[in-house]
Amino acid sequence: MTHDEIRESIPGYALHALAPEDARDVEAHLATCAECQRELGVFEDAAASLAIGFAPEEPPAALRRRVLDAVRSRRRTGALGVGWTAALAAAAALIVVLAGVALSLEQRLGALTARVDSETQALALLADPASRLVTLSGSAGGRVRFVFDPATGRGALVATGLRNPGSDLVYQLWLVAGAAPHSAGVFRPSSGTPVIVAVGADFPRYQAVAISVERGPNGAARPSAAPVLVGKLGGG
Amino acid sequence: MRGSTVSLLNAGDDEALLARVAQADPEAFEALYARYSGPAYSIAMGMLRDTIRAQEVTQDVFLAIWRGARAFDPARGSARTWILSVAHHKSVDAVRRARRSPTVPLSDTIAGDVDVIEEAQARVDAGHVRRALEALSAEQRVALVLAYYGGYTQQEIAQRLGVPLGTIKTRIRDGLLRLRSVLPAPAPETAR
Repeated sequence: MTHDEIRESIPGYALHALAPEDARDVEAHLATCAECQRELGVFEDAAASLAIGFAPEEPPAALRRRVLDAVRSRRRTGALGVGWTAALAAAAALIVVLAGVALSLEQRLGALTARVDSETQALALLADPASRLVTLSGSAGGRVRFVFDPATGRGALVATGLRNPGSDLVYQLWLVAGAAPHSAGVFRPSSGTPVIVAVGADFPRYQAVAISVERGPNGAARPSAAPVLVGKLGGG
Repeated sequence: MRGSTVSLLNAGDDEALLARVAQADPEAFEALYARYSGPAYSIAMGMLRDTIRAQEVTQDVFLAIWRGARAFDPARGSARTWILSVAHHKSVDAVRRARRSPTVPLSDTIAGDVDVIEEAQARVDAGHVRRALEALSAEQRVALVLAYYGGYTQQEIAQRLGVPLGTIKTRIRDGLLRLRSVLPAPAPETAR
């Protein structure tokens, strides 16, 4: 879609009234178009004023506990030894988060490069005696390793020198169990800076990690193409 | 814990809380939950009319906030708009899943346009939002209500009303701009 066609769809996007494929087109465009980002801000504000049109309902008190517990359990899965914590903090700052943030992410990555030697941080991960290391091989170039601890379910992908997948495209990481790959996040390579993607999973269930090239910024629900990199986990 | 949450409610704005949530600060998250669980749950209940599903959606919304706080860019909008947008998005997704599921009675899926519009319009409870919608043309109002409160896509709306997709896009754009002039975005205190 052209800029003008996308622009016509921005109000509908703000109302979540686009078909999924159209929404993906808009998101891909938003990542690189400041004008459309500004427009979206205007329409999202207007949409938010509709949010207060719903009848006020009080959520059950028990829901609060469930939500806080769910978040806490996710937090605990991130709580490892001191070395891991530092590494994951660095990784967390670098993780590619979903939804059209490519620009601000690049800026943030640029800022971080100066003060965080993230490869050193990743080495803390690699140095943990309990963790296992898999090197992915394939056609995307670069040096891509996956380090994980089967006991705690903690892992991270560390990628350097991957070639640019092309504008509007991302690398998507998959955990493969039988014929059913599960998405473990999307990322774009960053020249000169290692990309670290933290992954929490029950690793013994999976046979392999794989990376495919998918449409940005959110990737795909299932791989749409053959993987460009694969590493065997030895599970399953 | 409760005391510190209350003090957080008085200190700091939503943007500051969200920035702390991005740093995995559980107290800031609790404070955001205290502020926005009501609005988020109200959106989910309004869309889904089902307490179980609305709770699931609300939980999804807050997990998305916890995981996605880092993606929030204050240069692109307020924290409040972002949170309400996440809540609406998750609710719309749940409504669409429910419509696709075979447990929805057939009569719901083949109901006439009038029923669909009335059903969506019935979700608008707040008087000032109703009045603001009345300031729009009937065409703009129907398009906006079906999209935002009905959870229908532009294509579905165009099909139902038998008008070109481009016309629906225009009605939604003009309707939202009009709405913006008659219904200023409220302060967080009046979010409920």
